[in-house]
Amino acid sequence: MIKKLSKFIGQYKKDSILTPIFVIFEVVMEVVIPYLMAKIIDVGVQNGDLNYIFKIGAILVVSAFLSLTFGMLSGRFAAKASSGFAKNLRKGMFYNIQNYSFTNIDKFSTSSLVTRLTTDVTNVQMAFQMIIRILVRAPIMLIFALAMAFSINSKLALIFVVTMPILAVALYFISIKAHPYFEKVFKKYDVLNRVVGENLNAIRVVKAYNREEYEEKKFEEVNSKVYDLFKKAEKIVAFNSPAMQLTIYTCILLLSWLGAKMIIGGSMQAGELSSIITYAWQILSSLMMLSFVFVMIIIAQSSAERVVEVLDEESTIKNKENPVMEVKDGSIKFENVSFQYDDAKAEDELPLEDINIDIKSGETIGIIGATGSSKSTIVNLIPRLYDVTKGSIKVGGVDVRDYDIETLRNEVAVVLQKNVLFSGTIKENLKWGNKKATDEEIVRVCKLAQADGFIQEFPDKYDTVLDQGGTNVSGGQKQRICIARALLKKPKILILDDSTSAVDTKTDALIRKAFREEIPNTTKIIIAQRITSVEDADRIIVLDDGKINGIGTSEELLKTNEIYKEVYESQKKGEEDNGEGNKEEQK
Amino acid sequence: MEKETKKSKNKNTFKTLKRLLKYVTSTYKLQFVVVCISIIVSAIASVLGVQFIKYLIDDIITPLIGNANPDYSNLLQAIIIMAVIYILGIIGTYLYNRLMINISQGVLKRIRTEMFHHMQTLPIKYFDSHPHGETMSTYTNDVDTLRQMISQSIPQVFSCAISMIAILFAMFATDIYMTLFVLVMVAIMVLVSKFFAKRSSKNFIAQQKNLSIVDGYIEEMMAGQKVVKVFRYEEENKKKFDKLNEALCDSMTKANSYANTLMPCIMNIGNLGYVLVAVIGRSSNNKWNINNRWNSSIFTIYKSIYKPTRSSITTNELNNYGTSWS
Repeated sequence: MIKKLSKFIGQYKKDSILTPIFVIFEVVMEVVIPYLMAKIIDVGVQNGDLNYIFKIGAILVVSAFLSLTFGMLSGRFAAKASSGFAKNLRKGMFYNIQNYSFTNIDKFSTSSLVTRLTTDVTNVQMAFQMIIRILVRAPIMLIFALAMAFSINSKLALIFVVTMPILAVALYFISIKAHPYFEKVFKKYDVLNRVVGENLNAIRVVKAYNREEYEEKKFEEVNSKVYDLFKKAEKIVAFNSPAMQLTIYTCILLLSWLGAKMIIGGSMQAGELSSIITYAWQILSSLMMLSFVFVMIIIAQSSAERVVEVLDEESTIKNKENPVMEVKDGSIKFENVSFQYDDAKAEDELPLEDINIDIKSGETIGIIGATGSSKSTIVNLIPRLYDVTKGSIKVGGVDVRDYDIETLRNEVAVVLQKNVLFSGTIKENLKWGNKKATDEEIVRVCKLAQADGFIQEFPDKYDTVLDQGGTNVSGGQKQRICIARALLKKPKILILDDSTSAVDTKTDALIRKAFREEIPNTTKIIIAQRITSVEDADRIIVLDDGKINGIGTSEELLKTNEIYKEVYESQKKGEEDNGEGNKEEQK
Repeated sequence: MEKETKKSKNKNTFKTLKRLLKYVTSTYKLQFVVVCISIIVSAIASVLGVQFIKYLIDDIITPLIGNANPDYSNLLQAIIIMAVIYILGIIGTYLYNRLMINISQGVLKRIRTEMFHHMQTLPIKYFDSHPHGETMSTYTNDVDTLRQMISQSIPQVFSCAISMIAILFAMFATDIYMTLFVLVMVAIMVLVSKFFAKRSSKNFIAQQKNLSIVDGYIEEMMAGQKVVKVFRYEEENKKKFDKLNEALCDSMTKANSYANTLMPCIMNIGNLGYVLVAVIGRSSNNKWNINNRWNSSIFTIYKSIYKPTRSSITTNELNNYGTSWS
């Protein structure tokens, strides 16, 4: 895992190496300076030698400046290295996510990906910064202090050698026990993000139905879980400090006892004992720094694993070697297609089963069916947003899996059920269809989609800024902008997934007329709940429970298909009822 | 106008700190009191520990040197007392760490709850004008930085303050003039640290803001992945992301740079002060140890105060978001 992550240090390798180097210089200074300070006292002050004091003092001043410089440099390099590392990680993750298929995204869930890209990367970054700084400084100070202690009195110094491994083992156990809790905490962060995210997206519904309390209860559940888990993890880690303090204090007491005996016996000087104890303190502070880093690494380990998962994930939908780069025409053929979202689930309840359709280029096909009959699923398969589980789909005579993905998706435009517009101007959103579209082309497709009308009425017209989710336009207006966006692509296949539901019937009819007249060569697939939207299609497919119930023209289906007849009559009847009701009111 | 904003920023810092303390004390009064006591115990124990060594060497060991049949009872007694003090110190440290966990996680939980509750009362206009990801980011990233402040900084500041007071007494007892001189050095250190802290805070706030912007962008793109894929917007996405990512990296680098440089600066000012005192004062060894402990306590205090100030400002901003809209 470390190897995988270190690839992302990339151009910041220099900074990452300079940091520990300067830290080492810093440490050298930190060791030299106290030594000089002690010399000033022991020699200069004791002997009243002012010259000596000045001389050593001058060296000290220089050393202080050097130490400052090294400190600043190492600080700056560390900042650059760690921030750059985080940047590269985020970039790597984001880029890889762009390649994900929906199956990949579903595996992680959107909110988890967000957490991983932000919180987890930040944790890894902090750990990295600590590693190149403290993990260099602390061991060196430790080794130095130990060496000095040994040089003063090796017998006493052995005490350290014995007690420290015991401490190391204790710290190791603490970290092993804490790790799984931190893992769980981050998973809960995912849930937290999801709950907050859902609430934000649905805030209008929440307010309209006065569901604030319910939402707050939902939030509290996650909040409490995060609280519990984090507490558990930190409780375990809280044993670090006491463990270390216990070890060092024991050392000091032992040193004092044994050292005292040795001093009294004459085998050691009093000053030496006090030096050794000073070094014991230094060892303690190095160990404390180490334990701090340790805790950060424990936390970061869980985060690092989650980051690597995202980096490692390979898209389930990839190009084959030598993909076909051109789509001949808009013909679509489904051959014995079956599909399910998750391969692990049971095979008896497939969302799509045994679908066989043959669509000619330029045809207008309507798809109708009850909610949940998998209408959207069918059209997801055409541009390879998901891959079929069984069977094959051919566009232009070639299996979709043989095409270059970009080429395929260029020729298949989908207007989705949930119309998503992004923050930006209307023009920017439309240009998603074609970056190089001219203004005339944009106006043309908007006229086709019956969107130009209302856009012209906005004060900024095409430069009107849309907020996230496009909340300052109505549902019907959004749908029409989305249709225009799809048209701008000049695709061979245009799929409209229930995209005129918020548009009134008259405008709907105008749109379909424009399609018939202006883009006759484009294969059009219209999924709708409204019979009127699909009535004049060349053929209509009736879907029921993931299987095809009937295919034919409207007239044919009225005669032969139960479901179609039922839907037709209930909708027409509804219209008539409404018509009569109006008439009565007019009276 | 600039002076006004600077003053208001300082006021904000204090308001935030006070608010946080209110959260802590109101919810966990008893535990907080125990924490304070534990910190005092722990700090005094460590100061005593150092003094004790000197006492041990000077008053107990030295008189016994050269004695053929030394009486170890005094020594044993001294060591036992030291052991007791150490144990009290360890218990104190563990206690306050452990209780601070309760307190900090509890306060965080409460803050999150209140934020969510407050969010429910905000007008729709707020939600339309702020990208969702940015709001989401406050619940995780910003609240996390608060955690560090509460669980580590508050105890550290308090503990160092106690140490400083104890040491100050010891120093005054030894030599008043030198102590005054040291205080002057301290004043210089305070000024220097203020300088760094201000820069660091500014950049840190920028960092958190950029982080939330990146969060917002990612969230929006993820929510609209289908459209992104269908319209092959991946390349554009990557370019836009890169810009935001760079901005984030930039502010992160600056923030961390200033924060990292604070310590070396203070330490070396302390070292320079040491030289000056040596040249002017010419006193014995004991004082230097105290001096150093004094210096290191100050460093820690400033580090503790200024590092988390920035994070508190960010969270305070969120708490203020709502009021500015209503």
